[in-house]
Amino acid sequence: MKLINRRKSEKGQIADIMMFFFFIVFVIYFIILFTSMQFFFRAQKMVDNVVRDEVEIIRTKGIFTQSEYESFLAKLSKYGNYNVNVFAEKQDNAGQRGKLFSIETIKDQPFKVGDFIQILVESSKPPLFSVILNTNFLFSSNHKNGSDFRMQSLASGMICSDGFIKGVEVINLITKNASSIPVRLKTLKYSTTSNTEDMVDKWYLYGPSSYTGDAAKDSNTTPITDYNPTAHTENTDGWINYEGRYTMDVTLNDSYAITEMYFTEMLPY
Amino acid sequence: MLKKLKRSRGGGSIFPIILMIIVTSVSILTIFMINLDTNLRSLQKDRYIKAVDMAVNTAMANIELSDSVDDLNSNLNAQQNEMGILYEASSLDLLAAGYSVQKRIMVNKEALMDTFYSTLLKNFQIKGLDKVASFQRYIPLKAILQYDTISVSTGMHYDTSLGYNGFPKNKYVDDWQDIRLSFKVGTTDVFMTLGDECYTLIDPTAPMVASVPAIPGEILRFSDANKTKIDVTDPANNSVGGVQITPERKNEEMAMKVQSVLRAYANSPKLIKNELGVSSYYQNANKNVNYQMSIAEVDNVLHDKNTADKINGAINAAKDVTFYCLVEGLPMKSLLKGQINNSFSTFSYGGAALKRADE
Repeated sequence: MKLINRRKSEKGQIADIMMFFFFIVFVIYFIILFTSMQFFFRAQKMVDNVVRDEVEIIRTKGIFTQSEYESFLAKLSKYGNYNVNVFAEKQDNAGQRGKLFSIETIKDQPFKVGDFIQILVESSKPPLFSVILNTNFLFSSNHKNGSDFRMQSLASGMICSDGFIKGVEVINLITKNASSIPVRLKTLKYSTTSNTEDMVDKWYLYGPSSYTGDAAKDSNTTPITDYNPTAHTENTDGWINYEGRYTMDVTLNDSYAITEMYFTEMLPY
Repeated sequence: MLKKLKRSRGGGSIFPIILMIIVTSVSILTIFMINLDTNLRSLQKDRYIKAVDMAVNTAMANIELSDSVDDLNSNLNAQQNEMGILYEASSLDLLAAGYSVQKRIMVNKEALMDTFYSTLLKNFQIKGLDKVASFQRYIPLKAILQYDTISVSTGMHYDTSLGYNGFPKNKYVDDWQDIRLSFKVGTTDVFMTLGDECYTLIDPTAPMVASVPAIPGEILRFSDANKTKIDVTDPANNSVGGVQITPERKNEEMAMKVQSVLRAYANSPKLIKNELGVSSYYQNANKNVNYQMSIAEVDNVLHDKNTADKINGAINAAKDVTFYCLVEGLPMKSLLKGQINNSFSTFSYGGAALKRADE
């Protein structure tokens, strides 16, 4: 009789242990689910911020450069693997609007004010949260009927700067800075032979009289002794087109002070 | 099965254990669903706010000068006075010099709203600018603060008038109402501008004048001959009826004026027109919720020097050209509620201070 009772109590203990085991599994499952859910939504918001910030950068700079694209991918990679789709709505010289769907045709191509850029990123595989949520303990897992919480983020922005400065501002900047630092300028010149505006492969140097030049940088440079760009006319070296579009680059020293300035005139639209 | 379990437990009741398991499981599931729903709605709200912010910022970044002849004259005069020479009148870079002194800028509201709507709709993944008429019920208030007026729009109409290119516009445009920025000192109205300049009227009953030649539909203005100008930065020339109008006083009055106008329009019944042009009044986009918008609660802190640093953005924004936008009632999906929950509400504004590129 005692043996039978002992066996019954042993069975009871086994049942208790099994129930306790399933309960613990259930609780652990939900703890992991909760944790992965929090990570998922936090990561989703971070990805949203990264995408939105990128659109802000592009719409402000007016160009999506290769280095900017790589930096964007590096930021995204912190939160997982993503497929990046970039769309652009651009206006051509004839005023026609067209859509570009390939990053290769959008990269390093300057936008005009009024163009649109849109970035859509999607996670390339389901996140942990989605996998755990769709886990089925009793039957074979069927993801087709499960909830697909895939990360997706989209942001659009209108370009508000073409990234260039006007010739009139270049004149201001040269007048202001060329007395203290060297300023190099590359301009377009009208070619009488081809009847086009061509880039002259020559830099003009405005700089302080004390500047002796840099052998490497100034080998193909025409030095201009004065630093008054308005003194130069259309037919002389160093003339600046008031309405021209120029890119501006600067060199900084260790204390982030500007040591050199470069202006390059762009071809007209 | 249960009998077996009961027998194996020595005949004790298993009801408490099963009840505990069921209650715990249901509790965990409920908490999970609520948490998931909260996270989803928080994500949606976050995205809505970002979309509205992006649209407001883009609109302000692409700001253009008004092309109305009257406004253009104001813009050009300011520039001409400042620079002494007038060239390339449409360039914001050059106008910035005039702006930094008098802030005499009249904004092209139509261009600004086009940019705003197109960016907003793209971020909400709505295709076609013609959908703006349907979407604008969620944007019951738009306001632009510029030079000496705050322009408020609470509705739209379909405009078939000719555009600058000679073709009919054929699009929805906002109905703007211009409100002068003024406050009272005793019985005298003091009119403010975004710059340091204020003015009173020599003869308040004198009729307002139109441009010469007159422009159809233009807003009449006070004639310059009828204005007594006040420079708030000059203690010898900033007195009205014995009361000095200091820059601080002007900023306070400006902020309160902006605040009161926005609050009044945000909370008043709005006249809207649907796509067929039928007008109707409604109180709020979300008719189930009876609430009042409270914008920029600055009254209590304005005179408290200790909390001066905490004065919210409305005061700072009211010193420059600013675009205000109220978005409310956007539908938000919910897992727990079967119906769409129109609880989203945000107030966004973007300000723009124009500066030369080399400054």
